[in-house]
Amino acid sequence: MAKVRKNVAMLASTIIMATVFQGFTLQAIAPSWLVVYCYPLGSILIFLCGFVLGQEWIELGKGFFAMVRLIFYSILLGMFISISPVFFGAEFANLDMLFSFLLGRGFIAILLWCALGMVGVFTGVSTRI
Amino acid sequence: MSVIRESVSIKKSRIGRDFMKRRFVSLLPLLVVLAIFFGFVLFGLSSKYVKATLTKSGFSVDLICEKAEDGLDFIIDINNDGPLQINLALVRIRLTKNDAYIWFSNWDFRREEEAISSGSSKRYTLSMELPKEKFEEIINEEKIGLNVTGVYEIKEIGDMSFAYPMEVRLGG
Repeated sequence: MAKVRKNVAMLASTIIMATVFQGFTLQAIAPSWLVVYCYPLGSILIFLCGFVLGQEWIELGKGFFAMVRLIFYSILLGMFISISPVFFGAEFANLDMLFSFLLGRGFIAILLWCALGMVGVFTGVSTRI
Repeated sequence: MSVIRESVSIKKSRIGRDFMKRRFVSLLPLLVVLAIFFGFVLFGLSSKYVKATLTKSGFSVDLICEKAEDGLDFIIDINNDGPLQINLALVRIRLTKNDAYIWFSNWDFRREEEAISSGSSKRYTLSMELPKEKFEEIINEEKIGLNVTGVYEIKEIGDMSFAYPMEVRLGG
């Protein structure tokens, strides 16, 4: 049961964070509320995801590791969506937004996510004592 | 006396632990509800993005240039091979000779009326009037350089720009 809960938590968190990731990379397509509020929304949601991961993983070390996995998975899923038109025959040159984000603000966003996610994990583990 | 104090402190710590246990509420259901909402957003966004990108890459321009009395006539085919409807808003043609600027013209379109549906193309005939000396400068050229730029709107996505530098043979 615990394993199922962990997998559900990881999957749900990945979907949420991958959606927020699109607010950074697909600014022409994403809904305006996602684009305008992607930093505060991402911060609140990563904290919430970290909180739940901390509650489910219980141990701080494992929770932190789960958070690293979450960030990795959500960026991977976000990047997959960004390059998905290639699988339908679109040119790779149209994906400039993703690369400009990853080379520019992406690093800062990932650091922010990491820090807030870890705080979330810590808080989540603390409530489970 | 010390025994009584100890039992009181044990009771307090138990109460505290029970309080913490009662206070613990898993936020996993909230996360799942949020994931369902964001999942729908992500699905809609991804399909819109794929369609918009395919429409953008399926957009192309074919151009024929002909001599007219005091300028040039252009026959432009706007092709939309993408899955979404587009509306042409603006076309600008810049005329060059050996990479040197000669003249340019703009054509504004009423985008509501200039809809090009998915998988179809539309032909436009545009005329560029040139001053006499400019006309004489290019009229005997075999090939001229054109930079065709403009704006079109992908329905429900927004405005997109295009730019096609091309070299054309003068006909007519």
